[in-house]
Formats: sequence, structure tokens, C-alpha cells
Amino acid sequence: MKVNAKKVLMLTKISKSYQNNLVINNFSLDFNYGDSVGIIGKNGSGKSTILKISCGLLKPDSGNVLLMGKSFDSTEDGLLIKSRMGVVLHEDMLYPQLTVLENLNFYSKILGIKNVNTKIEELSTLLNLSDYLKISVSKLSNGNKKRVSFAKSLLNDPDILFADEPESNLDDKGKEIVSKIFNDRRKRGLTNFFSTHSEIFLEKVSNQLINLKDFENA
Amino acid sequence: MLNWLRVLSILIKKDIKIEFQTKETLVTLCLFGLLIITVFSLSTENNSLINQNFGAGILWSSVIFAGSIAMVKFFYHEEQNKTLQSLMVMPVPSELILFSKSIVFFLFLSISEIIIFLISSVLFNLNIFSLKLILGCIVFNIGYSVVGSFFGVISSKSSSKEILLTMLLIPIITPILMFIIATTNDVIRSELNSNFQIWLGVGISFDIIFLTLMSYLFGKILED
Repeated sequence: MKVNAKKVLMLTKISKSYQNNLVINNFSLDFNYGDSVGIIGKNGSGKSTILKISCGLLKPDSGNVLLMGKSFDSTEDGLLIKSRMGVVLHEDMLYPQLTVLENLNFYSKILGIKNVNTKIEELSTLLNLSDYLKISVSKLSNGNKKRVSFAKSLLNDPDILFADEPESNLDDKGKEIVSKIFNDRRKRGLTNFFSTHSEIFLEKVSNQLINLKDFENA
Repeated sequence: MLNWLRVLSILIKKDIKIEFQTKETLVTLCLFGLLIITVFSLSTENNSLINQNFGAGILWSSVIFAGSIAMVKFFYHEEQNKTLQSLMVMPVPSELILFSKSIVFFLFLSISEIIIFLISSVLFNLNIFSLKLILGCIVFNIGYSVVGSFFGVISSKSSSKEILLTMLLIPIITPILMFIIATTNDVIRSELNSNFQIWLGVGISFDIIFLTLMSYLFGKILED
């Protein structure tokens, strides 16, 4: 289901500061459905902040965010947008006390996914997680936690996937799987918006690049 | 509405499942509460006059302090694992996060109170089947759980979360604390207090006001 809008994401004159430290100043950006947009920049340049503002986790000090033509300001629209997006951050955002399967089941139910078992089986096969389903998340390696985090964010086959350094913590095989996921999504007209330090990853999966260095003096 | 209830029940089930595995909150509530009661009973040498005069205060002090420590634990994991953030990017209204936490904490608090009261009933000559006490406990637990869950989230981000939560929580819950202590005193002394209905009104009003206020403010707190 796509909400009717030409641009999937529109950030207009976004500014954000943390305790008087201006991280983003008058930043604007938009892109279309089916784009795979990579954002690069040095540490502290505001990559994660832009991603968090875009997915509604942070509120900008000023400026406007429209995702799929809708704003997070309206509760109803916010819930609609959130049901159509996926988010992978640095933190796994998983319940370590629960098993991988219990985590995925919980988020599937929250998202109202039908055929939960089929979906989990499909994603665990794709991300090589089948052997870990009954293991507690606290016992997983960081790389496997990242894979579970990806599985969680793909449960609803989101129209837009936000990922903060998606390749970090992953081994070569994991990076390959994630690249494949990003490219498959793009072919299906779905959008990826991610930050990275890896130029190789950028080349593999993005069709649009945003270098925050270009905005420093803007 | 049905969807809200569905999501609420999923959130509640998840928290109960986690508690069954860790047993942290319930064990903290019961152990700490009972510890205070035991220390008190040792210091008064079971003097019935002291117990009658100070019993309610001691009983509820144990519940409040045990509750605030358990609450810190209850929210610490959410903050540490960023699972609240995870819920914020899911189609879950922020009010439901507060409601689910409050309901689960209400359940844990009620279970621990049953255990603490059962043991204290001998010491304080407390009739735990008194309708007045049961009603009072329900009203108190609702208010304490809602306000506690709200401030639990705020304080979980602080390095001195235990102190911060207690400092924020106790002044605000003073009206329902006074209500429940007055009610418990009546039950211990077997007094027919004509003020009960007034106190009950205070307790219920507190619950309604803070439930409304906290659910409105909770979303804003999460965003910030």
C-alpha cells in the first residue's frame, strides 16, 4: 500500500541542536519512491540525527518533515506512516530476555501481520537466522542481533526502510545479504534511506548519494 | 478501539512474559517490602499500641519504597535496550505504552501487596478482607502505577535514577498516600470513619486527573 504522494520523503529546512550545539542547520532533502539514498559524512556530522528525524524518532527544532505525504504531527497520520516503514538503528532495539522468535512474534503482532509464521520463516531463511530462532537475544553475537534487527524491520515489507549504518557489525556474508535485500527492495519500487561510512556498500546499493560535507557551509 | 485493545493486550503480555523470565520486579517488590516490615516488627517488639498507631504508615512506606525501586528496574531495561524507541517507530499510540506499563505495574504491585498484607495481617491486626481496604488499595495502586510509570520513563534516562524517581514520585502522590494511610488506619483500628467517602473521592479524582494528564504528556516526553 502506497500513500498517495510523489515524494516519499520531504525534509524542508530542518534544524536540530543538542544543548546549544547546532548539528543540522536548514537542511532540505527529498526523494522519490524506489530510490535508494545513501547519506555519508564524518562522525558527528548529523547522519543519524537526519535519519532519526526522518523516521519520527526525533523532533526537529524547526523545519518540516513529510513522509509519504503525511506528517508525524497528526497522530492518525503518524500511525499510518509508522505501519509502512521499517527502522534499523545502531542499537538492536530488541528484548534481550526474549528469544529471537518471541521478539519477531511480538513485533509481528504489533504490526498486525497476517501469516506470521510464514513471514518469520521467510525472513529467518533470508537472513540465516533459522538456527537461532529459539535462542535468547541476550546470547546472540552483535552480528546476529543486527540480522534479527533487520528481520524485525522487514516484517511489514515497508515502503521505506531507514537504516543507520546497516553494514556495521556484520561479517562479509551478512553485508552481502543486506546488499541483496536493499537491491531487491529497490527493484520492487521500495525505498531505502541509510547512512554509511562504507563507499563499497554505497556503490552496491544506492542510486543517490548525499554528502553532508556539501551542506556544511550551506 | 478494538485495535487499541489488541495492541494494549500484546504489550501487556510481552511485559508479563519478560517478568516471568526475569522475576526482577515482583521479587524486588516483595522482598524489599517484607524487609522493612520485618525490621519494624523487630524494633517495636510487637507492641500492639505502636503497631496500631504507626502500622499504616510503616506498611505503606514499605510499599512505596519497594515500589519505587522495582519501578526503576522495570524501566531500566527499556532504556538500556532502547526498546521504547523501537515502540516509538511502530504503529503504537504513546498512550498505550503508558497504559500497558501502568497496568502491568498495577498487577505486580497488587500481587506484592497481597503477600505483604498477608504477613502483616498478624502484626498489625489488619483485616485484609475489608472491602474498604481492598477498594482503597485499588484506587491507590492505579494512581501510583500511572504516576510511577510516567516518571519511571523520565528518570530511566538519568544516572541517579533511584533518587530522581523517589524525589519526583512521592510529593506528587501525597494525596493518594494520605488517602490510603487514613483508610488503612481505620481498618487497623476498626473505626467507622465518616471521612472515608471524602477520601475516596480524593483518590478517584487523583486517578482521573493524573491518568488524563499523564497520557497527554507521555507522548511529548517520549518525543523529547
